[in-house]
Amino acid sequence: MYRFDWDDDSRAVAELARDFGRSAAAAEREAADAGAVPETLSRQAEELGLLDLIRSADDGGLGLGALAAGHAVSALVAEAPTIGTSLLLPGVGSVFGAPRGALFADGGAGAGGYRRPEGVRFSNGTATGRIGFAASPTSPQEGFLVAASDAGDRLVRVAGAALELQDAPSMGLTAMRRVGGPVDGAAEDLQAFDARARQALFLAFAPFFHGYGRAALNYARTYAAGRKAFGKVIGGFQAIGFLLADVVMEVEAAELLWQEAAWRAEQGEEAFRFAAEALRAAKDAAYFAANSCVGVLGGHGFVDDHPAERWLRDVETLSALTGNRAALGQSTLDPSHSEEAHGVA
Amino acid sequence: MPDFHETDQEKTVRAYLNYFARSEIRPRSLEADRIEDIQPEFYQAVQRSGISMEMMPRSPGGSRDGAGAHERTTLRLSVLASEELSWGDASFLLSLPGPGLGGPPVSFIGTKEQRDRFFAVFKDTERPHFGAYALTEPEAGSDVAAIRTSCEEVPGGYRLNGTKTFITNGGRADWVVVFATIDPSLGRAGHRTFVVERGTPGFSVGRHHKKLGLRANDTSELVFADCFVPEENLLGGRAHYEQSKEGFKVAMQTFDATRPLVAAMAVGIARAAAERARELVEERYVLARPLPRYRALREALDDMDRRVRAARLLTWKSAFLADVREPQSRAASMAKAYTGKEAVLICREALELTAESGEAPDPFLEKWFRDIRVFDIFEGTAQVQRLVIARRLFEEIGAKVGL
Repeated sequence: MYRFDWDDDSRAVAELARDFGRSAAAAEREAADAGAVPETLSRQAEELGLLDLIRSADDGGLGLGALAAGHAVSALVAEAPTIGTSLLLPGVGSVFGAPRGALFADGGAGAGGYRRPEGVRFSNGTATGRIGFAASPTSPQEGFLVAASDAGDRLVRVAGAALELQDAPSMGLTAMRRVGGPVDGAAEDLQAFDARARQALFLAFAPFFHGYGRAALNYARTYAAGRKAFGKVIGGFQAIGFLLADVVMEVEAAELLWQEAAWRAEQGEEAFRFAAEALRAAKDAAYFAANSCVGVLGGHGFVDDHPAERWLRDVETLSALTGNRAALGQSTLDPSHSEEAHGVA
Repeated sequence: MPDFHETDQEKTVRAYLNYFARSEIRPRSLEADRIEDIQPEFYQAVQRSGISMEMMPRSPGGSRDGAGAHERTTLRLSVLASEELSWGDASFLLSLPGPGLGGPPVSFIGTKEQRDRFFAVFKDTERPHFGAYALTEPEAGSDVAAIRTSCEEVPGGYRLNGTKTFITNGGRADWVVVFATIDPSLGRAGHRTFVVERGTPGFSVGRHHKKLGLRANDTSELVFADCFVPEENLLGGRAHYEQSKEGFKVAMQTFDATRPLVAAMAVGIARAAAERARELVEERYVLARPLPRYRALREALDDMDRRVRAARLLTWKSAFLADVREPQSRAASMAKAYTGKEAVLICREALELTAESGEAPDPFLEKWFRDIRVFDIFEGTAQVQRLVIARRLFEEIGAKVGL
């Protein structure tokens, strides 16, 4: 019998993450302007174990499953989107056992759906090519890269010296180091980067978008409850109230699609299509929420007195960084929806 | 922890109802739509099958005498059943014998004597019996507080005057839950809820509405002309209305319980349309190429599946919250609004994707295109749902914005 509540442990971790997010929220703008999360907050997040939500207990992490970890990520990001994402996104490689301080990057082998010819290739124990854009720890000590090979896409590990990374500018996620650059060096073959691996990645990315969606919804709601126009608060106008109703429906529908996908994955099911659709829905909902938030704030949403415009930049940057939205929707990604499955190969 | 596994009981119920829908409903669906009635043989099949679908939970919020303090599974199972039977044909589901939408108010506020008396009729399985729920009036649909059907207190009971419209199964109901007002100027506080039995002098069925869809299901106008209703048919008894707004609260509680069911019906229709579209697309060719080789078509079909699933999940969540007795007014309206919107679009896309020049549309897709439109209207229009959602959103932060 289906249910939608959380067990005590998952709830406790999510509340810890949420409380940390609330305490960090005041530093959001400072972090975005400075290009880094304040050191005190990074240290505090580390001490609370928030940087190791997914990392296995054997590796010193909390060892949470995709559902519980995602719930906590979403809770933190909903309170402090820019800081939360800056702290947690570089650690997403821990899904594949990458240690803290390692760079995880889609090396153009198509984790998000498209393959780049100039991306990283793995052959004869060597990785060569180029990383386009990745969320990075401050000084990556090694790289976990998705690379193309003759044996299919692989997850490989390279030493830090094999990475010649430069800062890669982007319009959003400005409190986090973003990098790109050439790769050339010996590489260790870790695992196939197959549908299961992509599935795990999609499930890890989606909660960041849920967090942004919640944050934008909550900010727009609070603003609409206080801002007056034509003699009453603008939340009292149906044009605003109905828009927020549509936003919350899209945000919660996306969260539920993700919950179902993550649950299936935790049951050991092949959940690739569910995960891809959940990530796509999460991106769409987050964009809708962030864009609507700018709209509800009107001119105030367009300027940096409020976080709405930053969150809109962040969401689109995060969306680009986590794979092409259109590619996620291509049914060819899903073997069960291939032309062969339709009997028309 | 969120959990999506299906129990053996659910699997059995789903499989059986799907079989019933496939074998007893679908084959009769198009003809029933044409004749605008349910074939009598269907009720024989219902009797044989043992399905006595009381789709409406007897006590969604717990009855007044405190029955059922534990987590229930009623609404979750009902939602599942609602989707499967509507996948066959929603008109047939709405025409299943039982108290229908009249069930929840009788359960919510009816006294034990009233519950026993009004539900007793459904124990007779020799012929179908129906209940109905009469709230809407020609001049008061979404604005429930504005109803004008009057109830004047007279010795031994009340005298009702007014007209109710768009009443599901109103023309064949054994009894109807009727909302009336003792004084329109009192607004919601003036509402009273009665059970009016068929054959009561002064109570008559007006016209049967001709509709865009769901044609096989009876939708009627009910007329009350100096209709005397005895005191014992005032739901909950006189004491129940001493608290203001109680009558209105009943109407709203009913919606919180029934909106997930209506949403599940829309999910069933949308799923049927999406499946039918995929079947038809897979066997067709355009410009000498099989249609499934067109990526845009495949994406459209996959996207329809995703939206059906999202709608189902929102519906399930609202049913779950009701079963564990958590506030679910916003969730119920979200399920209804999201499902209504997406199901209407999906049914239209299914018709579009399978259209062939020079050919008549697939009759099932055409029917579902007509049927689905009301799911964005009845049980609260799309706009009313958004009003409820927005109000609840602001209430969650303690804000009153005047919506």
